[in-house]
Amino acid sequence: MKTIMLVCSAGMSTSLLVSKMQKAAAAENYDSEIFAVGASEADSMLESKPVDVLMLGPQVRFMKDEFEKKVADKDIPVEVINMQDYGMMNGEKVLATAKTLLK
Amino acid sequence: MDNLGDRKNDIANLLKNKGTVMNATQIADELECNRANVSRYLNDLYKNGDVTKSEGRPVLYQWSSVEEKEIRQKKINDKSVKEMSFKKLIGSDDSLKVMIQQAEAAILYPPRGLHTIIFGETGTGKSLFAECMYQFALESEMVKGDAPFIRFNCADYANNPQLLFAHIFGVKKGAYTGADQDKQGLMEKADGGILFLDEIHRLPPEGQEMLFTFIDKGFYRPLGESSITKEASVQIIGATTETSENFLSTFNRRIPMAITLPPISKRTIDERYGMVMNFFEQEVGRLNQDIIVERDAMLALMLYEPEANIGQIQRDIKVVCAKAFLYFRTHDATSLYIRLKDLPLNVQKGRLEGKSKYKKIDVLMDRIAKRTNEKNTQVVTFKNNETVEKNDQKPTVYETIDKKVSETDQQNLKSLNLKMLIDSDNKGYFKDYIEQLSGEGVRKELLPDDVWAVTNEVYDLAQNKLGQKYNESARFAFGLHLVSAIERIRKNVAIVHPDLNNLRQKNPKAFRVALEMADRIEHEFDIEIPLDEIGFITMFLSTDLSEKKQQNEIKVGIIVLMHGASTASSMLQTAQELLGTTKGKAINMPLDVNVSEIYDQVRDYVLDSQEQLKKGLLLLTDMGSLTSFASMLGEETGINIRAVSMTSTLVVLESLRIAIAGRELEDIYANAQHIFESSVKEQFFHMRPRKKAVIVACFTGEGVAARLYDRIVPIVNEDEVKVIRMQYLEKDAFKKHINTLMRDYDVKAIVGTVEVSYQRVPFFSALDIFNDETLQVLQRMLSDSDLTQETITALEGSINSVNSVPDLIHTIQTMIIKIQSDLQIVLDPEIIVGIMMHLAFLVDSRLKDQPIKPFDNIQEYSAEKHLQMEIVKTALIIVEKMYNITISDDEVAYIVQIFMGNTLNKISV
Repeated sequence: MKTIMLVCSAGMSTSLLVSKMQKAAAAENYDSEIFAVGASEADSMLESKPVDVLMLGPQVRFMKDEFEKKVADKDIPVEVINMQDYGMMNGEKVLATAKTLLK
Repeated sequence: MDNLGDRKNDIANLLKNKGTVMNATQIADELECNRANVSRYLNDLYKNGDVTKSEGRPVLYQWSSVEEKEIRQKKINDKSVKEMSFKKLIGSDDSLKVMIQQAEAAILYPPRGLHTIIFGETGTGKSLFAECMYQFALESEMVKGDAPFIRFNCADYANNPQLLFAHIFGVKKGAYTGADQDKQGLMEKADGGILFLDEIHRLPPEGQEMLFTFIDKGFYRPLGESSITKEASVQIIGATTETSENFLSTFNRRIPMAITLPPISKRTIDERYGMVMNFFEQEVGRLNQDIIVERDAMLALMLYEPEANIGQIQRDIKVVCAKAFLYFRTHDATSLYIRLKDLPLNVQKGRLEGKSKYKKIDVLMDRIAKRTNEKNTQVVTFKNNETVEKNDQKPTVYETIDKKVSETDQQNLKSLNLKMLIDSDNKGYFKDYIEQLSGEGVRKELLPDDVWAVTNEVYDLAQNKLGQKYNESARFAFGLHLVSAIERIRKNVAIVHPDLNNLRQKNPKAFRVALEMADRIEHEFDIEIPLDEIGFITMFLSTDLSEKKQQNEIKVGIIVLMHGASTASSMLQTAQELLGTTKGKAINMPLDVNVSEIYDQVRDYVLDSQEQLKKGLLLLTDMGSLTSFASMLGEETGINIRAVSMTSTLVVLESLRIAIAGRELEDIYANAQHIFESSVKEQFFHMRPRKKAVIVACFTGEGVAARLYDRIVPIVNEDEVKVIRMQYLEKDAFKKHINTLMRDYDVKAIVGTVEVSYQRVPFFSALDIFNDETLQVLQRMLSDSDLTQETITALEGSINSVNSVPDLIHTIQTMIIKIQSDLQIVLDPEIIVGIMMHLAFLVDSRLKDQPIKPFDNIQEYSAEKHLQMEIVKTALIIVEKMYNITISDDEVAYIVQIFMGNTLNKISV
């Protein structure tokens, strides 16, 4: 099973995207846990969960370096969600991106 | 004339006359001056070979005989030869290994080496590399010991192709009027050695042709020579930042060896470490003084992204050292200390970045700690090792600072700053230094050296005469203008200034200075400048053209006029409290009072405050009928009055805010209407689709605008975006013109030589447009990726707490634009999509009364970002009112963080 963590400012806007991604994952029988947190909770989450991929909302792009630094020893890929996909809340596409990152 | 040298000469003379050994204290006593300074000058004299010094302490100095001087000089020369070899280059065993092998091959290739071109971004060390090649040629005895190394920057004469050609290939007598004898070119001077042509892409076509002839056949023809060809044994080394296909295909085919130097991002962290250390050590050598650098500052310097590569790092270090030295001298500090916060902001940000290099940080930390070998592991000390040799004879920037400090009296000492020193520098001591420091790259690309020199000269003159500061951005704009003006005049293209007399009458002083400037320019470029052109020059100088300098002037007045016993006063009070001002006037209209009485009341107020209302008055009312007051009042009082009906608190707040900021009446009026439209109108009717546009403006509408136009057109889809060239003569007329354009176009940005703030349209300076990074932002802003409709569709059904998702999204979009303009930042559209989502869900969560996530250190953060917090809060009032919700400080802080964190790093000159 793969764990996908989405991060945005205060966890405000990613929850809808999460539910759309979960739907997409269920439709294709992809064994995964997908959840969203605000930037400040991300740290503790990273410690308590075996996160496989970390995706950022475009509005927190400026935190990318910081996260890369934090997770570098765990070899977790970090990526900013594409602006089109984010704007359209396209769960399928973001899930597909997450899968590519996992390869 | 060289006052700086006086003290040094005094010391030299003293030693020469006494003929005995002396130490620094004795000399200082004898000459009654500061011992530290004496030491510095003695060191200079020593490095120059003028004096000898003893081992041990105190150091004893003695005037050296001529023979001794020669021996020392030879030693220095030998040493510098060795220092130049490739081994001295940082990264010679790593990032530069392959390039050095190529370079060695190019030099050793029989019989006289291969012609070479060096590619690399600005500041990657192309010149230094070329010098190393020359040194290697000497060492390997491929050229004679006295072989010349001639360097030339093709940008120096780029606006005069003929002169450039002549300079390189020489001139035959009679080639043009004034060529009364044969003149040797660089090619001839470089015979037997190496000719280094920097910025070779600036060579005009005829120059390229001749160069290729020389490369292929070994001969060339001087200018005006038709029969005889000349031969020379010269190895050409070219250097360029250019990477366009076109250029590459021409040059790669003709020049056999191509070497590409890596940008700083491709160098290893060890190499970068070496560079930073090296640059500090060089400064220590110049200063004759220990430098202590905060560990965090070192890390920042090693991790930030310098725009102009290694050269930039060197410049940044030089500037911070000069600043620290000034502080040291003016504040009696015990040591020369450099803190993280002394560094330019973009460098400081490096400390936060880390990048993927984080793993190396630990290694660096250890190395720094080991190196300093001191108890305080938070600093790095660069020790002044007096054996470091210094060859340049020119007074260093530090000596100049030193001199200024000793000339300034005690009281004013602490207020001395580097900027002032530089500004007051009329002897040109700083000139070279500043040239190194200023954003050379972009500037040099576009402005020939001679134009830039004259621009600075005439602007210094204007600065003196008009008592006003002109920054580099203004100078750059003028330089661009000057290039096209010279071109126009040389081609005899007349240009007419449509409002010359008026301009002259309104700005008599600026006009007189412009005449003087023109005189200087005429002399320099041997042209005659017509009066109309002088009109344009005047416009660059006159103050009322730039928007920023209107503080403490009379502002547009605001009157709030509402029905009800206290509606007007309570609305105004709210706005005043939010803005921390007492400006503005409220007039209440109790329902039992006759309208004509109210009218009299307003008129009396206007007549009483006539002086303060010279710039006009905006009447904010609640009913349409009251707007008729405006025209009546205007007629009766002679004051320019505009009225807005259906006013909300938001309109009052906004109008008051920008009135205080000194904006013009028309501007404030348009703005108030805009708020009204965006909050009300959009629900009723859709605006017809307008084509996107970007306005490109300069004073003539031809010169600079044409060059900007050429930069922008290739990055836009012309079917969807119109690039409109405009003449900017006068602010109000210009804005009116844009008003008209707004009906047909959705103006996305204004680009120009004079900063214009028009409603909320972002402004890009000419310099921005020639910066690739900022140009890309403009490109994204103009691209057709408008996701609004898709976003609305995506959110319909998911956000069900509001009646209309489209309304919510449109309001948020307006807010984002407003916050950007108030914070004076430009955001990447990508970030805007993210913010839009964030705000939409924020409103949703408030409406559902979901728990608020606390922001870490909210107190501290809001204290630090007080202004930004206020701006965002003010903008959020729109949605707060619309949905009757309250947005907490924690939530505001998140938003501020998103906006400020993602701000584009705009170039600052």
